[in-house]
Amino acid sequence: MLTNTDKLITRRQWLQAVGSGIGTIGMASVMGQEKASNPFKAKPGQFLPKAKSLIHICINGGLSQVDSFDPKPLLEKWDGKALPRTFKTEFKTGGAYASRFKFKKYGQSGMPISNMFPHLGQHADDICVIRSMHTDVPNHEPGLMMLNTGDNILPRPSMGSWINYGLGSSNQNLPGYIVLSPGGYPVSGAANWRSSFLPGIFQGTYIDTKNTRIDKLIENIRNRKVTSTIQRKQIDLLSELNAKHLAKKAGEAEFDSRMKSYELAYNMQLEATDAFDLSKEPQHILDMYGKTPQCRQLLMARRLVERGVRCVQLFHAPGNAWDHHFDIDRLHAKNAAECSQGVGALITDLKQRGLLDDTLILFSGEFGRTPVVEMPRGGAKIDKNFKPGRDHNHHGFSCWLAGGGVKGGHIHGSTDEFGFEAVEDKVHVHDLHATILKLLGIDHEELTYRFSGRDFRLTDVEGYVVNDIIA
Amino acid sequence: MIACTYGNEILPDDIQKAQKNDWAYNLSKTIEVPQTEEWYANPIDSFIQEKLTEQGLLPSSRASKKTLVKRLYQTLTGLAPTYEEVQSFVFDNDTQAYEKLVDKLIASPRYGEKWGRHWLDVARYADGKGFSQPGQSALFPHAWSYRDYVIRAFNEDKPFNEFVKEQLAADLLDLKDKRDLAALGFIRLGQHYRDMKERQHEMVDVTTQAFLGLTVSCARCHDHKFDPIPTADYYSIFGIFKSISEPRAHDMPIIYESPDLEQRALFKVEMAKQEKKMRDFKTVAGKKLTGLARKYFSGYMSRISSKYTRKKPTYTAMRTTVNEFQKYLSSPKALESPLFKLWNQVIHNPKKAAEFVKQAKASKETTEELKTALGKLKKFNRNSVLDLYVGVAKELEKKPKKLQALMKPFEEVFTHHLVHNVKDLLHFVNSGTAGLKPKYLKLDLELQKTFSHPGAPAKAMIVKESSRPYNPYVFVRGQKDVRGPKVPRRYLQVLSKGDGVFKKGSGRLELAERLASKDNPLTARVIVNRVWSWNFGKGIVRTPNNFGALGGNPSHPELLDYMANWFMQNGWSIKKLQKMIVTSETFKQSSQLRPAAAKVDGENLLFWRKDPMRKSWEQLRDSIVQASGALKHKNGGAPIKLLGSNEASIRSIYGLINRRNLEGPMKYFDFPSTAVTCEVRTNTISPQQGLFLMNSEFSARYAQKIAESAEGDTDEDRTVSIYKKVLGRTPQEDEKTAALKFIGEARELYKNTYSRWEYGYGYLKGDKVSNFKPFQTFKNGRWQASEKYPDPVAGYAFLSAKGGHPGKGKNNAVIRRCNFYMDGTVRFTGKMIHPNKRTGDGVRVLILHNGKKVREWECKGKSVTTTLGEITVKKGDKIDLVVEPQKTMSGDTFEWPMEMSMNMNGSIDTWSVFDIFSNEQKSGITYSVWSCLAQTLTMSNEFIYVD
Repeated sequence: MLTNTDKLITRRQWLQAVGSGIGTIGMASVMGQEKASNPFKAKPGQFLPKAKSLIHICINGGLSQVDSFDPKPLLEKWDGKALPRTFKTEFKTGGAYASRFKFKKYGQSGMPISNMFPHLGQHADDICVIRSMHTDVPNHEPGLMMLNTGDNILPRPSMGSWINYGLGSSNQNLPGYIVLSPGGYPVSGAANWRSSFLPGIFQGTYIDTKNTRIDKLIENIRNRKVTSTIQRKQIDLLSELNAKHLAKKAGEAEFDSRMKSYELAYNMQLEATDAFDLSKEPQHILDMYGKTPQCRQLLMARRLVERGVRCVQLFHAPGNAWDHHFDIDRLHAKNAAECSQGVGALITDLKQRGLLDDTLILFSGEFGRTPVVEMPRGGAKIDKNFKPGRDHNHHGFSCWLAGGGVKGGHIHGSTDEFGFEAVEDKVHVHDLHATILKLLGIDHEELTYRFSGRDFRLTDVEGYVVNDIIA
Repeated sequence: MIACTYGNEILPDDIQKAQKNDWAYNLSKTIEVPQTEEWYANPIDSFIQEKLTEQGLLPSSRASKKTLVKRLYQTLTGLAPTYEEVQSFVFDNDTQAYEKLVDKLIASPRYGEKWGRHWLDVARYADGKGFSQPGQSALFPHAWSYRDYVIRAFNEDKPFNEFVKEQLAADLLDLKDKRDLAALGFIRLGQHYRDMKERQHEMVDVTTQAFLGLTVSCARCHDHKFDPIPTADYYSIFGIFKSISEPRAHDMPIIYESPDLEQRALFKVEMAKQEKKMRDFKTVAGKKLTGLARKYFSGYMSRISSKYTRKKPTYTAMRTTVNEFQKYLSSPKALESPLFKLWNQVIHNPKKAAEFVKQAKASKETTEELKTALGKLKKFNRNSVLDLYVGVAKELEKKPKKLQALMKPFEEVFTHHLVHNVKDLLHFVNSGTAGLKPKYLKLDLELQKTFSHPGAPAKAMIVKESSRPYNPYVFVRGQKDVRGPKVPRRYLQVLSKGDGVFKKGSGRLELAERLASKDNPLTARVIVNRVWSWNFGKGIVRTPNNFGALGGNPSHPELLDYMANWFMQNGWSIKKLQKMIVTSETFKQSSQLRPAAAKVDGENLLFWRKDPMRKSWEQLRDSIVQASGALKHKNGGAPIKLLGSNEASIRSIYGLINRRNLEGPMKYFDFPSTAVTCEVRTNTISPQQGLFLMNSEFSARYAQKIAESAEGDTDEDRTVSIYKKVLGRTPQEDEKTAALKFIGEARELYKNTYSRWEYGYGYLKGDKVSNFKPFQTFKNGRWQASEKYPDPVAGYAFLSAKGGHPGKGKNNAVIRRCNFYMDGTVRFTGKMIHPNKRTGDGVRVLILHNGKKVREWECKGKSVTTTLGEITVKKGDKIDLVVEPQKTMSGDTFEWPMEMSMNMNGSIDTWSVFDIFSNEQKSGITYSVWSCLAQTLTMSNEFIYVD
């Protein structure tokens, strides 16, 4: 595609004009039919990156902010009573529902975190909570699409695809974007990690972490027909034949790259097996993370970023795992218990390996939940059997980041006195994207791809970098 | 940078200026072929030569005949020539040989399978919707009729202007062949969204990019920033697509039956089965619904009476059934009823109410309960009778049998009505009252899925004009709740001479006609450019979907215009254009990279050579299947899943394209996403591609087939034979030497294979195996004791790839024995699956090393993990996987998918017992060295690229 090349030249000229020499962005010239090369080759961005890789812990379904990171003591006064100001919600909601979780202040920063995540307190000074997140639609599918692709409806490339398109990956033996979810897809499935109009190779590689066997984890990773010694001989023969062919086609760079790609594939068989083999971890590390599938995949995530995988995305469980319209106190606690230890361990572990500075952790769902109770559905009544829950809330929610150049122990923005709507220093999902890209060294306005007549971006025509949270 | 951009608003003046000045909107009808020093028969070459000369470049020399014949086959049919075909062309001295070959290939049915696929990229064709609500079909069951239409259109060389018109308005044309109705699939096949309103927007997008090469979608929220397309134009076109109606699958017409007679018959049987299920369901549902009238009988009567008496009814639900019941009561049929006769008479003739009551009282026929009630009646008018009926109804509700008899005539009529009037039935089913909806949806889905049967008839995914066309208005900033000014349904202003307003119906036919018109400056150039790009790997305009200001500037605008005019003068014939291109010297150039030329024009924008092109996913897969000799030609029909155990050796174009989740290799070999129209396929290199070719089932299966079909007794002959099959040539000396060296070494490695397996049965004594007896017979994929099954001694003992069954008593444990020929450490992972919970007493499972027990498990009606840590083995060691019956062997069928990893000095191999399973005793791996060689050639650059 010539357009990409055109763009490359233009951008190069631009970079020269502003006297910057950091480099160029995007895959540009590799895409045309005439010039394919390994798209995962690592490439520099426009800024000096603070982080090299991203781990997104996706709280799919919607985490309640007033029960976790955004305490609202005022709700206790209004508990069970109609709030003076309320918002349109997806389902019918009633009066305020004060959090039944207990908050405590942690660390030097005194950051309040509820007992839902007992393992996070020790890292209060590492994490940066954004309390003023907001998004457009209070439905899971569009909400997740916005969070993961920057558009509520249209099929757009995912954030992980964009980042790999922009930066490549420093490990050529593993996919650059790996998606972990135990037992199946979240809602909207592969759309959450698709590459859309970006080349297919940037699509996330989905791995069902319920499996423990490597050949179930990565397609075609294992040869079942010949021994590895014979396969080695086979690849050697292939190289020899390809080299003879190339000798007659001197200068054909693409042929050369393809020749080498088999060597990569061959090595990947070992490397990937190794990366996903948790039995290689010492017992104290396994114990530190915990035994649930959620904890195991957090450990996997560490092994992957350690090996240079650019983006790892973890979904808690299939469907809308955190979507607790009813019985939220028990169910949120149950989910948190499944991952809290692992999340705490991940931060500890990255830190002790000196990897936390290079790794950006994002902990966020597609939206939050209401501070008011959701009314029973289908004619049911509020009686002693009623177990309260909360409805979707896109007006305001919390997420947090850690590592990779964010201010630890910092709280950015706030919601109103009831925790319903983001009011101060509001951060839209587009802004979060812009900020994440910046931390990874990418200017979100420069990471573009020409498609359908115009340059597309992860942030479309929106997005402001939240400089306040950058250390 | 962009020369001209528009501000926030496009003014009429801007449009006029663009009409006059912009290349895109002006097609010069008088292009002269440039005079070049050397004279060319084919005008393409003169245009190319002119630009090359300007840059001081020379064209490349003509490629060798061997290269040319392969290039032609691949370009025109997507398949390789056989070795013999290559030879016959190379030794054909006829000066017309090349042209004759072009004619032959263009006329081949394979041509449409290659070139139709190119158009399917543009049409974002997929068999899956990409999004579906639970309970809905995730696939378009009839999409393939469009795919087959496209293949046929290319094979029959349908004039492109007709092709355009049919895809947008076949329903409004006077078609000679009703199969062409399938063309309308183009409109409907796009990505589905949760928000179905997006679909018409998608139709605007695909139509304008596919035919006009304009990105009209950019004008959805604001005037186009770079092209003279105001938002008003966007909504003018949007209005046309908003005015279509999309018939449900049931209402799509069958356009032709499956050509496969055998499958067609099977389909009919299957369909009859499904239809019967549906009919039975409807009868049951109908009965259930009509039965409601009995259940709420007094309610029904009160509701109906209230319509006359204006009293408040006691019952308000189920309006439709009540109405149907009322219809029956008022019909002459009711006069035959001992209960409803009076009701009917009174309604139709209220003045004679008293008289009717008298008759009813006197009649023997009259139902007893009615008679009794009438006896107490004081007033004799319509309303009193109607009120009376409510009371009688209550009385009768206590006597269900009697009521049932009385209601029978009504229920028969109504059930019949419901079964045949699907709309009413659906109304009930969907209301959810009777809990019938899930069952109905399931049956409906099954019915739709039946159309995926290989013998299913083709149904056209038609669209129709809605009864009243939609009058569009602008959605301000693209927001559908913010109404802007009204706009007419009309053509893009920049392409219109007058106001462009459409007058016939929704204007869809007029739109199609304008697009297919000779006066349209874009359509011909856009398709000519695409055809060029599919031949050369890149277009003259490098962005085939975007001829606007942001698209790539044309490298040879005069050539493109010349070809566009020529194309229209030659009946919009794709085949003629195709021939003109492939017979040019430009196309015939060698692909050799010339460093000097590359320095001037590194991207070969000027076509100073023919670029090598990587085979597409389809070409690559088809070529592999073809080399194995297994390729079966298929004449269209429902799609088949391409990869997996039931893989059919058909061309990839007939494979299933699931938009929501493309098959792995389609993704990593750059198959388009199908969410949107694809202008150029990307070209990537990734380790996943390598892994697929090295390790996939697919790759191994066909390599094995190639190897099996190789001819010759000597290694040398076999090597030559495999080269001919895969690469269409004989190996050169050094290649042959390398291949033979590999064969020799690999064979040696095979000989020294570290493990060989035996299958047998034996007696366990103190947890040691004594008297291991190998099975003697291999039959139906199983090892068993003898020809006779059950065997008089071993009984039901057998072993298959995945599992087996033990024999009777301790003597007859079944044993998989691995003999080791090398030192190393082994690990076992897997589980014993013993599904039978009900009968028998389960099995004992043991792993023995040199006859001694390492671990054991017991298993009954469940699965048990049988993973084992490292065991160090030496050459000559044995490991036995033993399944022993307990007291009884009844119900002891088991599956035991075990995997063994062996580590020999750090080189690890992993096998499952079914990988290794063989019909030979004491066998190791079965994949031959020849398969390895064949596979290696399919991975070579020579194979993967078209030179």
